[in-house]
Amino acid sequence: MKKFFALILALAMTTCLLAGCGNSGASSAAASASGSAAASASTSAPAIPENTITGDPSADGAFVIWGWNTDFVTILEQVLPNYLSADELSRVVFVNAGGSDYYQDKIDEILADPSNDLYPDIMLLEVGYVQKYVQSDYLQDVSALGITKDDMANMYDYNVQLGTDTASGTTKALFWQATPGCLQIRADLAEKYLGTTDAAKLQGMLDSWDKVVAVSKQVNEASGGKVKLLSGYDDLKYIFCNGARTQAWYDENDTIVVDDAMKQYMDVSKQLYTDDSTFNTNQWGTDWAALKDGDGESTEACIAFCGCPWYTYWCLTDTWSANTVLIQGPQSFFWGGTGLAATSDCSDSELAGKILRYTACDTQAMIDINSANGDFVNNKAAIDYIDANGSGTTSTFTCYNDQSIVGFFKDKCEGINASLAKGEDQKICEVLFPVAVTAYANGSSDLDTSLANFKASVHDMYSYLKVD
Amino acid sequence: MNKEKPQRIKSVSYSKYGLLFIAPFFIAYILFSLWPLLSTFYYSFFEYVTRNLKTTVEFCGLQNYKNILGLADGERAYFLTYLGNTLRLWILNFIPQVLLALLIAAWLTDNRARLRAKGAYKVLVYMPNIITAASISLLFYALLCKFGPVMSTLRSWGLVGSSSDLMTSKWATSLTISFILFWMWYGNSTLLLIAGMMGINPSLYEAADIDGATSRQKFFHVTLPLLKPVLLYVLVTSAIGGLQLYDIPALYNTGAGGGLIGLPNDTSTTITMYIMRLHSSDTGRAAAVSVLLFIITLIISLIFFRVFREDDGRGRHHKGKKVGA
Repeated sequence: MKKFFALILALAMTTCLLAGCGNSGASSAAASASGSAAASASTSAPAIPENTITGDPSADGAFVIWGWNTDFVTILEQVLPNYLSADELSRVVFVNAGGSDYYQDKIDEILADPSNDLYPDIMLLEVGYVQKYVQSDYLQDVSALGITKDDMANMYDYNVQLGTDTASGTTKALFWQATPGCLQIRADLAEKYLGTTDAAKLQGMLDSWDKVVAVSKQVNEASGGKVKLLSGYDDLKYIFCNGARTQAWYDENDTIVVDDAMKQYMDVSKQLYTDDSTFNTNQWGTDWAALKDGDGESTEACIAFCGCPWYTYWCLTDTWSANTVLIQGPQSFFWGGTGLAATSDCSDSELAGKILRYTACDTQAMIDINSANGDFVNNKAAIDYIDANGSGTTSTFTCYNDQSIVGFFKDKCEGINASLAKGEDQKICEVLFPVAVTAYANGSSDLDTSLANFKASVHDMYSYLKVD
Repeated sequence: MNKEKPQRIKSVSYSKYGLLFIAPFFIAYILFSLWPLLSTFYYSFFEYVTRNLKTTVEFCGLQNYKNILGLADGERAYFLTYLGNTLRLWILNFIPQVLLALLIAAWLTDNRARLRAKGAYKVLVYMPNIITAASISLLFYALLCKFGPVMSTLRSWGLVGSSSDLMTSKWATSLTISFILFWMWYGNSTLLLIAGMMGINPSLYEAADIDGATSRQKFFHVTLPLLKPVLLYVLVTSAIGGLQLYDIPALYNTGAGGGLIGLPNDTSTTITMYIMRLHSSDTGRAAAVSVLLFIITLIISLIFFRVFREDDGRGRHHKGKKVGA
């Protein structure tokens, strides 16, 4: 009996490390305590980045803004000084969470604690999860900050939808970027394998999924597998998730819905996989990135990558400079984008209103933002001005034959429907659905099984969403 | 009177100091290990639902357990699926690991082989364990991914097809993860077994030599039976560690977006990855998974202890019979 207790206690010691594995403090204990033979009780989670805080959050009247990178700092330093007083600016404290992976965890924790010095007055939100906050009670209606419908008249409709709670019709988050999607075509390879570099002709060749599949097959055969139209079917996920869907991921009864467009995505992926006409890479993977710079002869290369303004300016490599043709492709969609919103316990609504106005509403301020960082701003009048007078972006990226980037994207927000956005979209679109697409495409499970597994996984992650 | 006094002083003072010395461990253990463990049991009876930042917590009895075991309506037995994955990864690594460790330990402790630089060998076999698992995991991924050096070379030699990709194969992924574990931990097992073998009385080997036993006979009839306690230790710690397997599968071939889904098709997701996936959103279910994992660990350990003890008893019994006959 004594032995039995000793055993239980010893096991409790090693196993209960699991119980505390949520916080990083326990993980180092786990590593040292269990020198087990097969695998240590390695509950060490990847390191959570530190917050970088600019300013003094404990000062009187500190106005805290949360973000996950330094994008907003540029606006804060280069644009807002023209519109806010020095006193107002000096009160602003910027907290950089150090990356988007843990941003929501960090912010959710602190939202529950309004007395914390770092409680956000304004927080930045990404399109993939903005609705989670918009539909909560943690954000303020922008009209309470003095921003009217007229102030928002120049915004692109889909961005207003993203920041609006559809049930109540209140707008809570405003976006300063617009992110209409496109296909970026590499001109030298297009000339060789598609026989043209003309944007209109290329669009004509790729304006439906059937054509995309057929052209992919043709390019693969013509190049002997060295050059493919697309890098992987994973690249297409935002086109389908953020453009082609006509139904949200769940209906009013919280039953999970897979839109026909998503089933079409699975079929297209399977076809591309079966024909071996992509490299089956995942977006942002190292092999995916390497394909941007292949020469198509000794190394593999791709003709088309999905894009949007920020991607075209900042993510294409030198290989693509003066070598890129922008076309819409089969479907309009949006990809990424950052908004900002004032929290319900915001300490200074007036300042919050000003920051929102001069970041997301005021035409002149948004022209300034474009000059400061090249963002394709969420303001039709500003975009018209930039189109006519040139962008002040520091990006030196140019398209093939000097195709105008702003001119191209100008009308690409039309027809994007973002009213289907839900707070769970990011996890579903980026994490859970790709598993189903891959399983179906490579034949490890049939359509019904893949969809059933997908729905089960959604229910498993969000227990309030039901499988029909 | 005179006789009693010194006795009492002696006994009281020593036990007091003893308790004092072991107190820090027990205080830390109760606060940081036992208490969290017990509260895990408690949390597992509550249902946590967080929707649009609003969390509701309700007592739900055994519902969490029913859900993860697939006993409730419309729920899948994710726990069992992931347990199966975890066991597959562990078994594939443990069997070759313990065999190789036994072989190396036998070589390094063999007096007749007279190996030189034994210390250097011991250091070398332990080396892989020094690198952090996360780095090794990412390193292997970089080597073996579709356009990594290994696959590219094989492809250019025409040994694999142009579209072949280890990452889409369940068995390739499992075997790679198991290989990483095997490679990282065989040194540790080897050292433990060497310690065990060095504890065996050399006169037994001398006696066996005199009786004309071969190396093989000495290994199977002298070394192995006497090594049982150490083998049991290796087995139990390995099983506990193996059931909690996390970092290597979590970083090796997982879905994009940080969902802790082990590819392909959820076949390399371990139980601990599931706990980590749930712990911030659904504390109750994560606690239930932890508790079940604890119970399974307990059962496995008890079985091992029982099996080895029975074996011991039978051995003695057998011997006794022989003597009697």
